[in-house]
Amino acid sequence: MTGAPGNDPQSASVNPKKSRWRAMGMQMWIPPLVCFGVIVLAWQLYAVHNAYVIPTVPQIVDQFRTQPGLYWHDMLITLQEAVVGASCGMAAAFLLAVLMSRNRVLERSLMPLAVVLNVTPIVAIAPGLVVAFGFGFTPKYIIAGVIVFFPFLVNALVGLRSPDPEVHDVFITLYASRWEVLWHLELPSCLPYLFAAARICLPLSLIGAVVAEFSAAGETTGLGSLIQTSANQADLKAVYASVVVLALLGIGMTSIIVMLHRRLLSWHSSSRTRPQ
Amino acid sequence: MSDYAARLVNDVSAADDDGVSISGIWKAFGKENDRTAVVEDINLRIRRGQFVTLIGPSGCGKSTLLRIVAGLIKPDRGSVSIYGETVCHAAASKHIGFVPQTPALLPWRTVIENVELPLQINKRSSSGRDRRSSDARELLESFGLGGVLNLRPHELSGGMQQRVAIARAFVFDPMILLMDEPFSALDEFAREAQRRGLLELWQSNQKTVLFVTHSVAEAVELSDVIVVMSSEPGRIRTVIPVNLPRPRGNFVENSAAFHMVEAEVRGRLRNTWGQPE
Repeated sequence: MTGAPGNDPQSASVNPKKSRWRAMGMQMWIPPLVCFGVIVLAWQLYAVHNAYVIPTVPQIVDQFRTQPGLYWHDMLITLQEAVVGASCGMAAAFLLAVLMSRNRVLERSLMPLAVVLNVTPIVAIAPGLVVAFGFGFTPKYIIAGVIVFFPFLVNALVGLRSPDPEVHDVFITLYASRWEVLWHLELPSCLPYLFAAARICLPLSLIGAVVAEFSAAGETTGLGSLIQTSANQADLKAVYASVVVLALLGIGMTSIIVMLHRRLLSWHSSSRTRPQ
Repeated sequence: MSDYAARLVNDVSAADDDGVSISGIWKAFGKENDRTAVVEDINLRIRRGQFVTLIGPSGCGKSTLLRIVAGLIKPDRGSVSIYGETVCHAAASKHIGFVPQTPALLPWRTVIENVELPLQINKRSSSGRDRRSSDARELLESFGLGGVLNLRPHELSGGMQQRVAIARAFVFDPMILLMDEPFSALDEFAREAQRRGLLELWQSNQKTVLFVTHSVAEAVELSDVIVVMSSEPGRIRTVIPVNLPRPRGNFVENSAAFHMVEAEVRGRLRNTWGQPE
C-alpha cells in the first residue's frame, strides 16, 4: 500500500467504472421513458374519445409548431420570475439560518413568524402584494421568494447544525474563530442539505410565479397569464401546452440541481452509488 | 502539615513552566440543587515528554478530566496550567492537540487537506512556528499514509482514518497531545496495529501525552505513568509508574515485567469496583 504511487487505486478502476456508468445510464433512462410513453398513450386514447375534456397529443404539439415565439417568450418571463424570486428567497433564508444557528434567542423569536409566513396561503396574499407593488415583476419575485423561504430556512438550519460534535471539539481546541468554524466546517456540512432544499424550492418557485401571474398578469405575460387568458377563452390546447412547458421547466431545473449535486458533492454519501 | 503543603505548592510552581499541572479540579453536572460530582479533587502533574494514561471504569470521569484539560469543559473549581499558561491561552497559541474518540475528519477534504486544516485555522498563533504543507506531507509519509494522500476519508479503513486524525493533531507541533480513547472504535487487530504505530511514533519524538483508555494492556504498553481512577465520584486512586525500558519493541507484552505491571493495574482497578481480590 505504502509503496504504490498515490493515484493507483483510481486509475485501476477507470475502465470497469465507465462500462458500469453506461449500464447505469440505460437503467436510469429506460424506466422513466417507458412510463412516460404509457401515459402519453393513455392520454391520447382518452382524448380521442373525449375531445371536449382534454386536447389530443398532436393538438398540443401543434401549438408549439404554430406559435413557438409565444411559448418561448412566456416561458422566459415565468422562468425569470421563478429564478430571481427563488434566488433572493433562498439567499435571505440562508442568511437568516446562519444568524439563527448562532443565536437561539433570535431563532425562538423569528421562527414563529416564519411558520406563519409558511402557513399563509400564497394565493391569499398575492392580490394584496399586487395592490402594494403594482403589476410589474416585483410582486412575482416576492411571491416566488416567499414560497421557497421556509423550506430553505429549515433545511439550512438543520444543515448548519449537522456537524459531528467531536469535529466541533477539534475546532475549539484549535481556537478557531466563529468565522473559521462557519467557513471550514458548518458551510460545507450544510451543502448537501442546501441541495436537497433547492431541489424542492426551485420547482416550488415556478408554482409561486404562476400563482402570482394568475392574480395579476399586468405588464408581465408569463405562462400563468397565458393559462388564465386561454382558459377564459376555452382554449384547452393552449392551456395544456403551457402546462407541458411548465413541466419541462420543472424537470430541467431539477436535473440541473441533481447534476450539480453529483459534480460538487462527490464526497457525500448521498451522491455515491452503492455497488449492487 | 504546613511543611508538606508548602512543598506541594513549591512543586506545583516548579512544574508551571515545564509540563502540565492539574490542581484541585472539581466538576459536577446537573441542575443546581441536584448536582452529581463527576470528578473530585484531582491533582496531577505531567512532566515534559511524559506519556500519562488515565484508566478506570466507565463513569470515573476520565474523559471529563481530559476535556477539562482540553478546554472543552470548564471546571467548577481548580485550575490547569499548561507550560505555565492557562488552558485558554494555551489553546489560543495552539499548544493543545486533541484526538477525539472518532476520527472526526472532514469528509469533503482529502487526507492531506484534513491534516493541513490546523495550519489554516487560527493562523495568527502559528506565525512564529512557520509550518508549511510540505510538513504535512512528510508527516503523513512517516505515518505510513504516503500512498493515500489524495483519497477521501470514506475510502480508508477505520484504523487509517484514526491515524490521519492523530497526524492532524501532530502536524502543528502542539506542546501536549490529548487523546480520548482514540482506538476504542476499532476492532482488535486494527487496535493492535494502531497502538504499535503510536508507540513507535511517540518514541521517535517524545511528545507530552495525556491518554484515556479502558484497556489495561494498552495503558501498560504505552505509558510512563498510569493514573488509576475510581468512579462515583471520579477520584484518582493510585498513580503507577511503568518502569519498562524504552524503546519498547514488538514483544514487550510477553515480558515478565510487563505482566507484573499489568497485574498491579488490574488489581487496583478491581479495588475501585469494591470487589474482593
